[in-house]
Amino acid sequence: MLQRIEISQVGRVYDDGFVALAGASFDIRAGSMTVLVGPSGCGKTTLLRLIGGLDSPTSGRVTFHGAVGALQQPRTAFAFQEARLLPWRTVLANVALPLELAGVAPAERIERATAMLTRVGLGGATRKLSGQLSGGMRMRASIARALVTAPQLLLLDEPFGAVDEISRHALDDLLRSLWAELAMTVVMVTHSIVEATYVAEQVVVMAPAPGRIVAQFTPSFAHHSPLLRATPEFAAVNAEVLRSLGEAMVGEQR
Amino acid sequence: MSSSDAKRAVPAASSVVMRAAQAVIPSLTVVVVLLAAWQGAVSLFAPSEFLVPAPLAVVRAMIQSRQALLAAAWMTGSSAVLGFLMAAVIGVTLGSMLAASKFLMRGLYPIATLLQMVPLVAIAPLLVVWCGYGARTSIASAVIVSVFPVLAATLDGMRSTDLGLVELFAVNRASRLQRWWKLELPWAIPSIVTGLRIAAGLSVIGAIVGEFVGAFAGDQSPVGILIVSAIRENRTDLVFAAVSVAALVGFALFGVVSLVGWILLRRWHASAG
Repeated sequence: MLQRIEISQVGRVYDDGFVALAGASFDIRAGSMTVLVGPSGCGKTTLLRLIGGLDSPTSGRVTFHGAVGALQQPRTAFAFQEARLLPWRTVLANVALPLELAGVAPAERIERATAMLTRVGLGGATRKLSGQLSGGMRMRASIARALVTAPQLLLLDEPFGAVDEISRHALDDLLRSLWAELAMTVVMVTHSIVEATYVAEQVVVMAPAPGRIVAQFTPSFAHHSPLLRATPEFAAVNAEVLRSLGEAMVGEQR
Repeated sequence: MSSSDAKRAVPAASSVVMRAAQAVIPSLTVVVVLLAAWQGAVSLFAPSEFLVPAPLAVVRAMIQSRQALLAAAWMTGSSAVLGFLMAAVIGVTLGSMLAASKFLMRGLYPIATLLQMVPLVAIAPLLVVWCGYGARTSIASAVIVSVFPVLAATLDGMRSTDLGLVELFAVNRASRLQRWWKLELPWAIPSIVTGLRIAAGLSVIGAIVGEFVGAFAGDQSPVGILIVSAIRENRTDLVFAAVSVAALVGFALFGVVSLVGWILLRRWHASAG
């Protein structure tokens, strides 16, 4: 069952006194696609790790709500900026790794990993090693590995930051189609405002020093297709997000 | 791995043979030139054969004593291989334990390093006391001298595991054993292979040192005893022949380890390229 995620006054101060995140509050709707966008050091990754349970807040809390009330951390999967594939394993064995660690029987994990690889367009590369893949293919494998466990919550930390722009557009489209097809809540971190505007249902804009939320948008487009990026409608939303970030940064410099 | 090696494919057998030939030919040429210079110098200056025998005299001794040399190679080689295998198991196990526990590493690693500094020849007589005369002393000596490189290489290899991959295993709730078996051990293989290569040569040296103090002459003698006997008989040519056989045993062991390492790493690690 998908859950609403409530982030209430969440802060994270490190041992050396550095305030990575201060007073972050917002809700993530069950089954939604939320993107955290902002410059380096604004606490995006910190917030993602707090949502994923990889770190604990020093103030505030993250809670997961089902239909009835607060629940435990949902089944969560991560994909990182680097594909993090094991170089000695084939693509298939890499994608099957989470199932293997969970004790799923070999036949079932091969079947599920093969199906997921086919879904992300790597059906012909199952026996290759990661060193034989392009950057875009590695990221597809990384996404397939994250999705093979059928997560309720998918957390993506700048997953396409290291690939070229054209591949990145294709991967953004793939991500949106996977999200539409599979029942899951997605939270993604990115530096790219264009990517955030294109992919997200909800854009959370963050600024640094200290890391905080400065604005939220819910882009809504009549037709969502790759050509959307070239429309004035898209450019207008993009400019709005950029303006909110710019105002926050200028205010900080004053 | 970087994206630069994205198109790297498994090398074809013919190119492997070609690369092996390219690697061997220069060193073979140097050996031939050195042997020719040695033979020429002996012919020119005619030193006593007791001091420096000519390469051809060594070859002659090899042919004449081939049965004794083959038996010696077998005995010393067996001790070295057994010692090497035990050192490999002990080294990888201890290295893994030390990598897993900071307490163990801080407690045991300095002691292991200190023990490594103790000269083998100084403790070899003790091995006779503990293990008795015979092959056991040679094997123990081979283990002692070759275990540390494997331990250190395993420890370094495991401690250098990519932190991103460690995090990947953590988010997938891998157990400690799963992380060791599926991540840290494979990650450390290139480093372990390097440690095993060093240990391969050392194990032969260790076995011979053990034979010097703990073996005895019989119908068949190991290399260490053959060397001692040949020196007593003023057969320097046979000493050279026995040393050459020992070197060949070490080289063969090194070659086998390198081949196994290449098979394990050829598809994914640059060191096997």
